[in-house]
Amino acid sequence: MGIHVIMEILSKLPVRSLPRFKCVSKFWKALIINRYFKKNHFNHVKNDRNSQKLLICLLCLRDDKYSMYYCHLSPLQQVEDVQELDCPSISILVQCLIYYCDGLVIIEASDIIDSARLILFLFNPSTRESIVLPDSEFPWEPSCLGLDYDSTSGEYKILKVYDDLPNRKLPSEILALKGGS
Amino acid sequence: MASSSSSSKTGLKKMLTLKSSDGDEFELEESIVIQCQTIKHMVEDGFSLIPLQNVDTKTLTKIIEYMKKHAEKTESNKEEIKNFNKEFVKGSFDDQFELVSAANYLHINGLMDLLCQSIADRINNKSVRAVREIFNISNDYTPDEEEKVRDEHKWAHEGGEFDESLD
Repeated sequence: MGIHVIMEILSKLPVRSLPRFKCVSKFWKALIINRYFKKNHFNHVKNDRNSQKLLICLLCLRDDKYSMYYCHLSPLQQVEDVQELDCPSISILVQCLIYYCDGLVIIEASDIIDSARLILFLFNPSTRESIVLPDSEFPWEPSCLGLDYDSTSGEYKILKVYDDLPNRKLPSEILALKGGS
Repeated sequence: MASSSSSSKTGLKKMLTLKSSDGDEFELEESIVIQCQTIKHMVEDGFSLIPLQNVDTKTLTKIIEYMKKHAEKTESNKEEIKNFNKEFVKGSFDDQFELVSAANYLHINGLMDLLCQSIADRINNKSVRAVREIFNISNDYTPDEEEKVRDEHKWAHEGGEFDESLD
């Protein structure tokens, strides 16, 4: 069976099955992490109503921590099929600010050791992969974020705009996420 | 559509012959066969006998069955086509793989989508071991390497039993 046929079959699988099938062989893993494949797969599920999901953050008052849940919005899936997600391991979700685009989210969380330090994660709830974003130049300043896809360069970009305070003007920052990870 | 119905009235249907890798010949109306992009291009180049060296008689018979049914597609028989598709994808994995390779070679996009989706649905809940058997893939990971890949996405291997059956 040709490589094109295998790619087509894999692109019809729900995204949550793909990480498991990386174990099939080195070749399948290489196909699944291929950038072109990812794009193809995303284009396929983006328009599929049965792939739509809802990400929920709940604050547990007992220990003052947030939990994340992920469930299908499709009428074909049972409501009980709700998965609890672990947040990226080195952090505790003490506040939950979420910015999202194309199924990717940016989550603001506290460092597990130094709780005053805020960390930004880029998180893909479907594959549960996350990366820590580099610290910004003015981490303490009030700001807001935006995440979107730049089709000219084919990468996701994050924009951070600082609040305009009197007497001071801080520049906005843009972070480009290269490599499709 | 208009040209095919008028030509059938006058009895001047343009016929084409498809020849399987086993040497069997199938005569079909051009209007049915041009669903297949590869053949369409050959017809445009003036061929009327089309040898298909990569498609055996068994597979070609199934593909012709598909093309004939889908050539009848109208607004009113959607349900019928849907049921036909459902039956069409019921064969063994090996038969489906033969068909999907042929559909890919012949560029029949609708059939390609149908088969890939059905194969994907059938393997979705299968265990990694079952998928290897079904696709006849030998595991080229060392136990350590496989453990590492598994650990990258521990959650993906948890949560319920995966299906070990090979059908």
